[in-house]
Amino acid sequence: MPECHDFVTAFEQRLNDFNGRIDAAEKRWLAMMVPYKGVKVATYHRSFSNFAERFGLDVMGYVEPRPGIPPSPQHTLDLITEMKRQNVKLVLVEPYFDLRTPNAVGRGTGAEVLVMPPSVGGVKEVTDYFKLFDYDINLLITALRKVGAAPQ
Amino acid sequence: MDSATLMFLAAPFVASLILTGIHAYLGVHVVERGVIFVDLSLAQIAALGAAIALLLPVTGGDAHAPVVYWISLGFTFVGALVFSTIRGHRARIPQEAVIGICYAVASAATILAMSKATSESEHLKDMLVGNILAVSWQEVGETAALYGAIGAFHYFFRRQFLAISMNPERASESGMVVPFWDFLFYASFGFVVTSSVAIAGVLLVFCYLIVPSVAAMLYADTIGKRLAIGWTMGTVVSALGVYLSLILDLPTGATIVCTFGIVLAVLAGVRPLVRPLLARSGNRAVITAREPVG
Repeated sequence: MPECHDFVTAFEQRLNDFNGRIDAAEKRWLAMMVPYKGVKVATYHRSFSNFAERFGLDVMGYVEPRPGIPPSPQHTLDLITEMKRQNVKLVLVEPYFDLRTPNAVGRGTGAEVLVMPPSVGGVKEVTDYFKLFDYDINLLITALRKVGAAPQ
Repeated sequence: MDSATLMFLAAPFVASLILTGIHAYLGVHVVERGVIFVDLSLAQIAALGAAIALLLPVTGGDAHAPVVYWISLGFTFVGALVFSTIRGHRARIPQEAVIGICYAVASAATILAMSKATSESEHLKDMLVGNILAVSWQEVGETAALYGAIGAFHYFFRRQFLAISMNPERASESGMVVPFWDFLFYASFGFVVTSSVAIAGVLLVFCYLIVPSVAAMLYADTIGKRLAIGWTMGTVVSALGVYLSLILDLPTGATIVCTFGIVLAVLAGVRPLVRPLLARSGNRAVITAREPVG
């Protein structure tokens, strides 16, 4: 039976290969997002934090701040007022949340509600980690162009 | 309240008035029949229909495909058919037992169907939740048209519908085919409940259905008076609930439900105080015991 250390070189090769590919991809993704650095968005829950931080989005508010508890009228009104004041044009929502409340915020502000998968398998064509970011960043940039969002 | 606030709350408030209009009326039937949980059961059967629709190739796993709605409605009608057969002349099994069994089995079967669905089954959970604050004017318009049509249908056949709910034995003796009218009642009821639950969620719909009718029974006996009291109570509670949720910073649906509970408790509490006044004005309902119906 082969021992683990027989595979060390193979593991290292695969790791180096992956690191090379992920570094190249990350540079590409970051470059694509450069023109939108600092764009303000709202999200459904406090859930796209890492993505927003890495790619320079500024999350200014949440549709449902307490997961599972429908937002109060005052919270929703405050969010709508703030989004209008700060000219926020995008609401990010994961595919598994109901769109009724985000759509109500969208109607109140004229913002686009964008359903964005947070993990592999969120949509059929996203079958690995690279495809996930390719998909999400393209989706995001298309939406940002459509609503004419620019950093303040 | 500034104009932006009023604009934002207008659609949910009008939606709550539409819910009051149809549910306070249907609630009179439901309470007379003693089938209190029939709305939960039918809503769950509709959700089961949607879950099964998602398993069929025709929907392609899209929870918002129109065919999902029609299959869900078809299941509601099957539920209506079942409920129209459970009232025998000398039935030993209480109707609520069958309604409860349908609820439990439909809930479990929905879980089974969702366990086999490949996509989008998360949205089925939302079918029974609803957030009345998020209702759009388009939904308000569509719901008003649908409930208007069903209300007109019930108004046109009011003699038949009231006869089968209030005194089914006499209706049967007079030659009416009671199960047929029962089916029409439950089918139209299922139509309404499925749409209402999608807007407002099961808790709120249950309250709009049952509480105004029960409050009215405390103070009046005739259908006309009970409807008047029910509609008034529903309107006042809707306005008060929306207002309280705004000033106390609370979720609107749950606030309206609790307001219903408090107002009903107050109405029941003051009943002994106003009882002599009502008795003098000749209202039998408060001085004679109600005869059991059904």
